[in-house]
Amino acid sequence: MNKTNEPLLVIEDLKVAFPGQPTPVIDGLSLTLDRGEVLALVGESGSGKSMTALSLMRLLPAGGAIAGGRIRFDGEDVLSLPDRQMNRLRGGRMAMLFQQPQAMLDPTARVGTQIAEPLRLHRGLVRRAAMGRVLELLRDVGIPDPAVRARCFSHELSGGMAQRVMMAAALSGDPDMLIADEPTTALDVTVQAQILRLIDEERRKRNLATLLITHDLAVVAALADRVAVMYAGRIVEEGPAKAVLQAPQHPYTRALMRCSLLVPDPSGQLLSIPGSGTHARDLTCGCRFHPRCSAAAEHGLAGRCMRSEPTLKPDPDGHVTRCWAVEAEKETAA
Amino acid sequence: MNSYTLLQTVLRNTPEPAGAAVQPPFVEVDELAKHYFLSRSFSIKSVDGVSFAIRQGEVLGLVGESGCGKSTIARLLTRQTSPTGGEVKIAGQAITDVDGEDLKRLRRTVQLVFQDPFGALDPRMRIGTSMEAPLAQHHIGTREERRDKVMRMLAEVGLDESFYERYPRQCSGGQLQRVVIGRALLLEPRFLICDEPTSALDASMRTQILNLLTDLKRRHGLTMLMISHDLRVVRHICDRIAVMYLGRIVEVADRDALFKTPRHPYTRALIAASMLDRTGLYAPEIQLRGDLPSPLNPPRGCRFHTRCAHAQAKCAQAEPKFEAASESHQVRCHFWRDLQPDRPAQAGSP
Repeated sequence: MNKTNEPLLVIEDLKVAFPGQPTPVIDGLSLTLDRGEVLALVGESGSGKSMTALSLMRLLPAGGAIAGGRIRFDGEDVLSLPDRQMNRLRGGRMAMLFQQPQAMLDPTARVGTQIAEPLRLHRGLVRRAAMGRVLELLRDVGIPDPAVRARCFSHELSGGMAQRVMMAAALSGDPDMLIADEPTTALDVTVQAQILRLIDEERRKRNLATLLITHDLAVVAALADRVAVMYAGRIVEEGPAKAVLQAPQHPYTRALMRCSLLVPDPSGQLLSIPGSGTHARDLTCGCRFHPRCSAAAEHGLAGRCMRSEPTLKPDPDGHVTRCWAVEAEKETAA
Repeated sequence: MNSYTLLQTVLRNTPEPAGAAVQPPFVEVDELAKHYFLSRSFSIKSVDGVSFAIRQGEVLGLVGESGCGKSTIARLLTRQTSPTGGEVKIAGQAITDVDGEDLKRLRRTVQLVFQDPFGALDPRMRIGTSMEAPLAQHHIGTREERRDKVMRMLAEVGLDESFYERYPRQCSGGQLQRVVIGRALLLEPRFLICDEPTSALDASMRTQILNLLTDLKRRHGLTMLMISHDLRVVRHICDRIAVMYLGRIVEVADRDALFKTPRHPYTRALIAASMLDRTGLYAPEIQLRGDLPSPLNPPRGCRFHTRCAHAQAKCAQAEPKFEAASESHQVRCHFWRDLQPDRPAQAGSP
């Protein structure tokens, strides 16, 4: 099906803007995602990671518009597809999991009917055939007594169960790509691990390209092949999961890592990043992280970090970082 | 100096006998129960015979999955709902049937911080107004004094004065949680209950809020109850931790003892599920299958036996008693003595 050798999903220089906001919420984002691969997109709320997911599905909230860049999915230009074809893609070849599964399910319809909907829409299955497939899907995602559960309403399900149901609905269209937006954040720790494992199993079984969006760096370690860290609408670091998690380079990634671990320093304080990134996007010049960054001062680069924004500089092993201090370090090492 | 005055002096300088120095705990909860009756014979036993005590200045963590009854306990301790059994004493006073002025005084002593700061603040009210509201409600100070107090509190929780005039939509989740914590402290409570205070926050905000709570606790000498589903969160701030399962406490221990020698299989599973490996990466181990059973119809015998890896025939028949594993460590399991000590909780320990 794939005519060229390019990855399943290619995002190039994507810009998303809202009217009335001086700077775009996503600013020059480029990513690729291949079949069977898990890419984790990590960042704080407001960093633009959910907006990235929504632009892939062309489901940006009212007012938001894609102001530039390209998104290609399996060789097709997603941004110029007619609505009808886009509808066929959504819930078909592109599926999505959300943070609050309960809120995404229709409270007035039985769970089975909701999972059957994409089957009837995309596959043209009749009711009976669709229900048969629904039971198979529910069994696949590890729901005991599928026949009973299919007749449940969403309020009768626990959070973990509801997320499994969402997974079944996502898989019903036989997707090539799964976008999981904070799929475990609203769940108990005991259930989080189960859902992460489920996502992992399904992507292996179906060779799914998976985009995992989360704020918790520690969580991605269980799953991701590659990690991209976003800050204020920009990617600040990207690379193989192992490299990013074990040897994070960007000061923001390092700080985030320490936060995720919840390990106190000798004085009993937890390490945290001072301030918040809420208004970082409005900075007119310089690195967007510099007001919260400790490396800027340590390297005597404060002036440079304040004046001009660094670009993404690659390592030989495909690990890219957007930071003056890291660049300076590498130069001295070389 | 004759022998009598000598005796007097000695007596005056001798510390009081140990028995008299032991203060009663600040919060005493005894066989507390909350059953929601759906019909005459059918009820959800959300909290079913829970007892614990919190000493003055101590932080107790209450941990369990959603649906285990931990938030109901928060509601019972603040008298947002009345228990169907048992008793709660706060600062020596029984709170289960106070009303009128006494109830109002109780609500000043006990304050609550919720999970979702966006939901806890009126979106159409400026933050200053929201924070002053409880002071006005309790007729504290004049308008100017209230404003002063709020300004000082904003500084104390690490926010600048501009927040007084802001609306919640102009703030981040972490900033709003600071506002909510500040508002709770304005009434100078002696007992602070935090119900999942960091669950709605980003990783970076989470550590800020936990540091703030630790700091405020020290400065104000607060007694605290910290409710969470995540052991990683309660670990830093709590002195003791109680683990709850389906309306019952299954294990209580000092923090370090709980992590080093967890006795109950459920506690072990929780630790395994939330912990990190030696390099600090998330490496959860699944020891628990499925979900919490419905509290409508809890399993007979030990409530945990349906999900327990060590369950035996006895577990399905008789509910275990709460036994003391050591002086400050209690556990509700028939076979806690037989369980092999786990490999030490690796768990990103410092």
